[in-house]
Amino acid sequence: MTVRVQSLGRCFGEKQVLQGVDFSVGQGEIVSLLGTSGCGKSTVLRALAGLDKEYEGSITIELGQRIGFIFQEPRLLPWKTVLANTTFGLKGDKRLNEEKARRYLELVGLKEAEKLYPRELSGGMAQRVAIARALVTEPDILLLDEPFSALDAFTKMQLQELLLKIWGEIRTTIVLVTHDIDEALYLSDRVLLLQGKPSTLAKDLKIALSRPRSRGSASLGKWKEDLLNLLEGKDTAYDYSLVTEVGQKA
Amino acid sequence: MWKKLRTHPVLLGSLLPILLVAVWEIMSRAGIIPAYQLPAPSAILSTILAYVQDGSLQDHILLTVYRLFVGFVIGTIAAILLGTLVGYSELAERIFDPLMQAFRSIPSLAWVPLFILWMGIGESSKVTLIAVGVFFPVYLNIVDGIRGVDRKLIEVGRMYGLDGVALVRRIILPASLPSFLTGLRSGLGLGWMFVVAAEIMGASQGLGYLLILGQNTYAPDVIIASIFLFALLGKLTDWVLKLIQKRSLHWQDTALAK
Ligand SMILES: Nc1ncnc2c1ncn2[C@@H]1O[C@H](COP(=O)(O)OP(=O)(O)OP(=O)(O)O)[C@@H](O)[C@H]1O
Ligand SMILES: [Mg+2]
Repeated sequence: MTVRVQSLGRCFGEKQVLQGVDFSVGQGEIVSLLGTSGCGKSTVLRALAGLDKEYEGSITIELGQRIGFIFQEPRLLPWKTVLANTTFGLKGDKRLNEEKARRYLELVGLKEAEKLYPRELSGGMAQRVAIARALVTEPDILLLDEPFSALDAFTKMQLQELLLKIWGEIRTTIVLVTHDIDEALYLSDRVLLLQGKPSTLAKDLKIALSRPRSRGSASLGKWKEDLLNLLEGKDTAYDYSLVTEVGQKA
Repeated sequence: MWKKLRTHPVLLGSLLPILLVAVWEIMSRAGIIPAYQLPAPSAILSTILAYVQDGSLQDHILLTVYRLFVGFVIGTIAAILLGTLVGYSELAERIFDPLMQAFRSIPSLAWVPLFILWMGIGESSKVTLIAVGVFFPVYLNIVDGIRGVDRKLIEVGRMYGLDGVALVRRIILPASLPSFLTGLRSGLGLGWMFVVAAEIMGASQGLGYLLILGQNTYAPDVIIASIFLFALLGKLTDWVLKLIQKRSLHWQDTALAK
C-alpha cells in the first residue's frame, strides 16, 4: 500500500471534524473522496500532504514517494509569470524546465498565456496553471482538492482526460477530492464517502468498471443513483452487489 | 485652455505655488516683508547661483548625499538581516523584539550626545546617527511584511519541498517586497531628517552646515536656499525609490496598479 491512513481524527478547538477514518490507497490507484461541503475532505488531504501535522491517528506513506498537491484555490505566486509559476517546482536546467512547462501549459490550453501575470488571468485559467504546475513535476502521489470545480463543463472534461492520460503514462497514485459525483465515478477505482458529525468513513466503494468508461453509460447512471441515495442517507436503495464495504479488501 | 489646465495634474498643482512665490516677490520688493527676515525669491535664487559659480554648492550637496547614502545603506542592511531573522523565526522574535521595541521608544536624536562622546563629531557619528534613523522604519516594515505573507503561499513552497533559506528566498522575500519598499521609502525620509540633525551638530561642509552658517551670519537667504535644496533632493531621491517600487511591483493587483 502506498498510502495507509489509520483512525485519522482531527479537532479544531472543541469541534471534532474527523473521527476514526481508515483507508489505504494502492500504487497507481485513483481514489475519490466524496462528501458534503465542510465535512472535512480538505482536512484529510492536508493531513496526507503533511501540511497539517495536528491530526490524531497515523498516516504512513511509502518512502521516497514525491507528493504533488493541487489546492482548492490556484495559489499562484503573484510576482511570477504563468511560465515561471509552472516551472516553480522543477529543479535543474532552466531551459529544459521551461520547455517542459510549455508542453504542460499547452496541454491545459494555456499556450498563449505564458507571459501573463496571475492578476491578468481568469479564475479558471489560474486554476489550469496550478494544475500544470503540479503535473509538470510528475509526482508519484497526486493529491487534488476539487481541481476542476472552477471550470466549464467542456474544459473540465478535457482536463479529466488529461489526468487519465498522465495517469496512464506514469501510473501516478491519485487521491481526488470532489463534489461532482459524475467526476468521481468517471475517474476513480474507488469512492470514499465521508459522512456524519464528526465525519467518519461511511463507505468505501469499489467502482468495478473498466476503462475507458463512457460518460453517459447506464452502469455509471446506476452508480450515480446509488451514490445519491447514500448521500441522502437512504441505505436501502443501493446495490450491494456492486459494493465492497469498509474494511473489506476489494 | 481652462479644460486643459483642469485635467493636467502638474499644471493644476503648480498654480498655487507660482502664485505664492509671485506675491512673496512683490511684497519683498515693496518692502512689506523685511529682507533681513525673508529675502525675495530672486535674492535666494541668486544666492544659490553664487554658490554654484564658486563650485562650493556641488561639494556641499555631494557630501550631504554621500553621508545619507552610507548611513542609509548601513541601516538598511542591518534592518534586512535582523528583520528577516525576527520575522521568520519565532525564537528570534522572542529574543530580539522586546529589545527592539525598547530602543525604538528612544527618540533617535537623543542618541546624538552619546554618539559624539563615543566617536567625536567626525563622519562616523553622523553616519551612525543616520543609520539608526533609517534602521527602524525598514526593520519594522520587513518584520510586518514577513509576518503578513499569505500562509497559503508558504504552503505552496512547502509542497514543492522548500524550507529554511530556500523558502525565505523564493516565497517569503518576494511576497514581503511591497512592505519592504514602503519601509525603504519611509526610512529614506527619516534619513534626510537625520542628515540635517547630524550636520547641524557639527560639520564644516554639507547642506546642514549651510543652515548653521546662515544662522550665524544672519543670512536668511542662505538658510532658505538650503531648506529649498533639502526639499528638492528629498523629493528627488524619493522619486527614484518610487520608480523602483513601481518597476518591481508591477505584478501587484492593487487599485493603484495600472
Ligand atoms: N484551520 C481551521 N480552523 C478551524 N476550523 C477549520 C479549519 N480548517 C477547517 N476547519 C473546519 O473543519 C471543517 C472541515 O473543513 P474542510 O475544509 O476540510 O471541509 P471540506 O470538506 O473540504 O469542504 P468544502 O467541500 O466546502 O471544501 C469545517 O467545518 C471547517 O469549519
Ligand atoms: Mg475543501
